[in-house]
Order: sequence, then C-alpha cells, then structure tokens
Amino acid sequence: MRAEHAPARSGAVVIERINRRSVVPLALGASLVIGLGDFATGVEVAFTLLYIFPIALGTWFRGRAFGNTLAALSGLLSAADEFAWRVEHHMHLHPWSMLWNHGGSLGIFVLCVEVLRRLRAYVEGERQSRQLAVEQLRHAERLNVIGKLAAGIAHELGTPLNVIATNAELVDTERAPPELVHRCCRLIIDQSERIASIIRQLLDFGRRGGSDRQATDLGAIVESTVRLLEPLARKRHVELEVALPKEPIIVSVNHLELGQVLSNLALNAVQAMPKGGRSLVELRRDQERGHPVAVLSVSDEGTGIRPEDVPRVFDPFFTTKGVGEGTGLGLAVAYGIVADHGGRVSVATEWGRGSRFDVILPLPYKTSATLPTV
Amino acid sequence: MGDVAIHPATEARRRPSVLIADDSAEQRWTLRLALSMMGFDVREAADGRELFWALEEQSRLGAAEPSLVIADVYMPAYDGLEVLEAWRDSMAGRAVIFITAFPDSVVSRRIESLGAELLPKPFSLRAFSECVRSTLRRARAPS
Repeated sequence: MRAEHAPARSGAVVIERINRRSVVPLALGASLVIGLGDFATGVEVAFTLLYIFPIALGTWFRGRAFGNTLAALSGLLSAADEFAWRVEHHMHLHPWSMLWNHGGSLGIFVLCVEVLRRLRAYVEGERQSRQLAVEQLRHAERLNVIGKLAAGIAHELGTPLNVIATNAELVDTERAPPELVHRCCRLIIDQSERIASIIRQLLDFGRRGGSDRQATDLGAIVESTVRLLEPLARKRHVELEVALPKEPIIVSVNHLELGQVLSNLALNAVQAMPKGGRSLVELRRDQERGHPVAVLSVSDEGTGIRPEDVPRVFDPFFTTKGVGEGTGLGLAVAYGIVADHGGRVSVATEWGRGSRFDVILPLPYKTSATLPTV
Repeated sequence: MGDVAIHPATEARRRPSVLIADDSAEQRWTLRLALSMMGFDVREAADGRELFWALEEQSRLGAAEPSLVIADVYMPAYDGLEVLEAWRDSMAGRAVIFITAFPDSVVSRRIESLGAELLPKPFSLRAFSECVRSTLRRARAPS
C-alpha cells in the first residue's frame, strides 16, 4: 500500500525529476554552469567550485538537521560573509558576477530545499500509509475478536440458558413428573450459577491489578494448585508431575492470581493431550542477564502449537479449542497477571511433540529462605 | 445424570427412538425428560464419537424407523455436523435436528444441504416439540 503523491505543481517538471539519486550530479552540473559563467564574466572559476558548492551542500545538510528556515539563514550568512571578505580585500566586484554567484547559490539552495521537501513528503506518506494499514489490521482484529467473543458467549451461555428455560417451562406447565420437580429446580439454580460464573470470569479479565501481595512460597502455590487439578487430570489420563527446588523460593505475589496462572497453564497442558500423557510442573531458580529469576515451567507432550498460531497464543479470545471448551482468555489472563508482577511468559513448542510455557518472575537479589515476620 | 424413570406418554403405541447428542449432561437430561414425556425411547451420546458409534449400532441392528437424531453442532471429539455428514449416504428414513447457540451462515448452509432441521438455542419447550413433530412428519412422508 503506497501513499499517492501530491500532483506536481505547475512549472515543477524539472524538480519532478529530482530525487535522492539525481541531486548530486545536478548540483555538480549547476556548479559547472556557474563556473563557466564566472569564467565568461571574468571572475575566477576556482571561487565558485570551492565556495558556492560547499555552501550549498552545507545548507542542504543543515536543512536536514535543523529545518529549512535556519538553513536558509545560514546559507545567506555564508554568502554575505563571502561578499564582505571580497569588499575588504578590494577585489573586483562585477555586477554580472554578483548575479551569477548569488543567483546560482540561491538556485542550488532552492533545489536542495525542494529535494528535501519531497523526501520528507515521501517519508511522511509512507509513514501514514503504514499507520493506516496497522489501523485497518487492528480494526479487522477487533471485529474478529468481537465475532469470536459473540460465538463463545452465545455457546457458553446458550446451553445453560436453554436448560433453564426448558426446565422452568416443564415445572410451570406442571408437565414434569412430581418427583422430578425438585431436580428441575436444582438444575435451574445450578445453570444460573454457571452463567454467573462465566460472567464473573469475563469481568475478571476486564479488571485486574490492585491486588494485595504477600511474601509467598511459590512451591506452596504449585503444590496446592496441582492438588486441585489432579482429579481432572486423572480423568483425562494425564499424569501431573511436580519438581520443586530444595530451598523454597519466596516472592511477593498475589497467591490467588499466581494460582490462576498455573492452573490456566496446567489445564492447557491437560487439554493438549487428548490421549493422555505426562505433564511436568517445574519450579527452579535461574539467572537472566545477571538477574536472579524464578522460573515456573509447565510442559506437556501434547499436540503442540502450530507455528502460525504461536504469535497469537497470548491474544485475548484466541483459541484453537472448540467453541465451549475454551473462551480464549486463559493465556491472556495468565500473561496479564505475570506482567503485573513484573515478569513474563514465554512459550517453546514443537508441532506434534508438545509445548512448554515458562513463567519468569524477577527475584529480589537477597532472597531469604525463611518467610519474613509480618 | 442417571437414568430417570419417566411416565410413558399415553398416545405412544409404538415408541419411536430418538438419539440425543450433546456435550452438556444437563441439556441431555432435560431433553430426555421432555422427549420421554412425548413418548420417545431416548438414547444419549455425550460427544461426536459416541454419536458415531450409536449411529453405527443403530444401522447394524436396523433400529425401528423412522428414528430421530437431535445433535448439538459443537461437541468435543467430532462435532455433530461432521458425524452426520459422514452418514449422509444412509440417511434414508432418519430425521435430524441440529441444535446450536450460534448458527452462523456456514453452519446453516451445511445443515440445509444435509436436509436437516436447525433449532437455535435457546428454544422454548413448545417450539422444541413442534419442531420434533414436524420433522418426523416430514421424514415419514418423503415428498
């Protein structure tokens, strides 16, 4: 996508031909013409070649660096300086030579300024078109996200809503067998709670941060979260293994949020292995560019992530799971929480072999093995 | 959701069979209740794979015709559309209703080309029973 150049103004046909490549030979040619003019009017040629051309070139560079007004002033100053020097040294001042010298100098200057203006307009046009393209992409992405969100919400809420509506109708029309009325009502309550929890989850995604943090042993978070997930993993024939360091790693975090990060990653690992397998949750100390960090990695031997999907895995609502299985918020939420804690999440994956997600949290330089007394 | 003893409907002499495929247990239970009261013999499938094997078994045993299949479009393993499209050739005498909360144009077109009915969620019990009756009526008397 290229920006349309503004149509050339009248009488600018020559200038139209000027670009970055042709400006130097043109300037040299112009200097040569002025030099020939000098020779004809009896002024020494060396003056033009040694002074006018450097002055013009200098003006051009100054124009690039400081803007055209300043450059024009400085160019005029150079010319005036040269004029004064000549008067001082009682040199011959022929009116035609004056016209040649200063007219030529001005011409070259105007030429340079015009080239500069064109280059600037070109760069600006490119920048604008790129920005426009990015804007359009963002807009398309937003629409895409809204579409996915709509589909996700429709499915997530549609089913429980349907169960509620149908059961309420069964009870209302007294068609439900009396011994099942209680169960119908129970279903209505359960499904309403499910809808409420989905809405809460969506709202949680919207507002994060401002959480209270406490010095917490990351190992304890890992253990409690894995214990919570184990029944589900077993049901899917996934073995959750835990590897913790000997010394506890104490970091100031919000343990609920960190637990959510880990459970989101571990749930993904479990869901990535439809045929079952082994998932390793490992906590260790490491160094990153000289800084101590805690690395919490969750690896699986599942399907992996397609290379084209890797850059989008942390995007909100991006999901490769079927509608209803995932809202596409899990990794986005995890990333946001870890970023709030000053860390980051990285992913290493091989299509068909499995993935590993690393949560990297910065550690204070001196970490004590004991919890500080509060 | 375990099996539920349902009162047999009075008007059903020959109980036609219906197969419900949905990944939500609550949804299956509710539909089973409603369909049992309409006098159907209900069987369930919790995902696309179970639906496939249920259809396989049904065709092997030559189950009572016409049979009705009510399937969710989006399900784990295989989705309902994929499975029933695979069975496209032996659809004779089998009525199919798809239920989905998000019937986009692609899904609607695929359902239409299968000659199946589309019932968007959420639906009322009245709309559901009306859809079941009209679909069965059409399957019994093919034009």
